[in-house]
Amino acid sequence: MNCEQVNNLLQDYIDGDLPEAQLKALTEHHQICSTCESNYRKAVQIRTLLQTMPVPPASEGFVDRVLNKAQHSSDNQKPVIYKAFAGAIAAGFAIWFITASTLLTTPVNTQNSTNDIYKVMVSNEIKTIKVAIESKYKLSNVQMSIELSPNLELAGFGSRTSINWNTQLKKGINLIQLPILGLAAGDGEIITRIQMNGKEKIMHIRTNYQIPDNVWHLTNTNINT
Amino acid sequence: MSVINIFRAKSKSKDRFELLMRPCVEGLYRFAYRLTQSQNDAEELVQQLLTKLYPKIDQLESIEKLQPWLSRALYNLFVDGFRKKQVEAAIFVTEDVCNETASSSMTPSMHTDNEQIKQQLLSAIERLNPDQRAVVMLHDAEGYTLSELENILQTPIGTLKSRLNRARTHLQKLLPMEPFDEEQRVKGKKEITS
Ligand SMILES: [Zn+2]
Repeated sequence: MNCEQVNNLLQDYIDGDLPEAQLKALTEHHQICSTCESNYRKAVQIRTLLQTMPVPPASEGFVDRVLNKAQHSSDNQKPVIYKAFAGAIAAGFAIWFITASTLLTTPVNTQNSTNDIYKVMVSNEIKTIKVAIESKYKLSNVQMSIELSPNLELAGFGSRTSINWNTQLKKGINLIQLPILGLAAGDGEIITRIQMNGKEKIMHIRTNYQIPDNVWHLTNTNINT
Repeated sequence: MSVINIFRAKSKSKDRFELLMRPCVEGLYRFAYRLTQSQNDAEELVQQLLTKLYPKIDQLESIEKLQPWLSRALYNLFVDGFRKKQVEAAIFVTEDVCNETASSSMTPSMHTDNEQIKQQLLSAIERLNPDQRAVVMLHDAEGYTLSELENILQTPIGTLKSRLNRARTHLQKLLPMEPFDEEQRVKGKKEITS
């Protein structure tokens, strides 16, 4: 058995799903190949770590609270504003974006910025746009700013089109949530800047607010009849 | 119907709901935690599910195997929420991260400290896509069999298996650790060479 074959069988081996003959060939290979052997040990260690990974208990009184609230929220039928999964989303996308945008991560100076551009649809309902910033180090005293085109509103900030604040970035993923409301149809833009020590990184989020198709069709029919 | 009767009917359905769901809440929270890796998000997810289910008490009472049914409903809710939000996530990287990939930002020298390995593993898990994370956490960490998951996640076993393999491979790549500490490895090598 060669290394590639052994590698292909690794997962079955860990799960204990290998037939006798293959099992024998594989363990024989492990005795002569330290790479595959150490690969296997690492896989087993990860499996063991996963098995011992605890679930922290829910907050105190959760069971009573959740049952109670289920009833009351159902009575009121209020729309739930979705705020869960923030971490999951940012993290789930980290890999994808980093690999897709490695070219975008070159350090830039204020003078010649090559910028990152993303596109998002907005509407007349508040939509939370999540901006994840990954930092390799803990950075204190970072200047953040958000600028909005006039056809957008940051919910809770009224007619302000520019917001600045000082903050620190933790090592790893930092998440900013922007509750964005479209005020008028058409293209818009949200510009996020991070400034530190006279350098800056800019991200553009292009927004588009379109009247949905079905509404358009309805209007059309109305005109024709 | 008199006011008192309405009140009775209401409190009765509340009691029925509680009776049925109370024993399931903890399991649901656990399941939700494995999907979200966050106490807050897990609680929120369970809350959303129960709020949605409360008016459907009659239907719930007729379900034969409630726990897997609930797990499936919870997973659907999770996936729905996730899909809706997908387009809205964006990331950019500060200047200090340039030329580094996610995995190389973890230093190999951390390998001896178990706590740090656990932290690394947690952040590696967070980097998996949600489908892969669901299967690796529910199977490897929580101990569901693949055929149980086939039902709960409504995904054929072959697909689950390849997701699981990809997830494990990812974790292995994202964790540049050595399986044992220096001393043991040296010992191990000696045993092989001698
Ligand atoms: Zn080998």
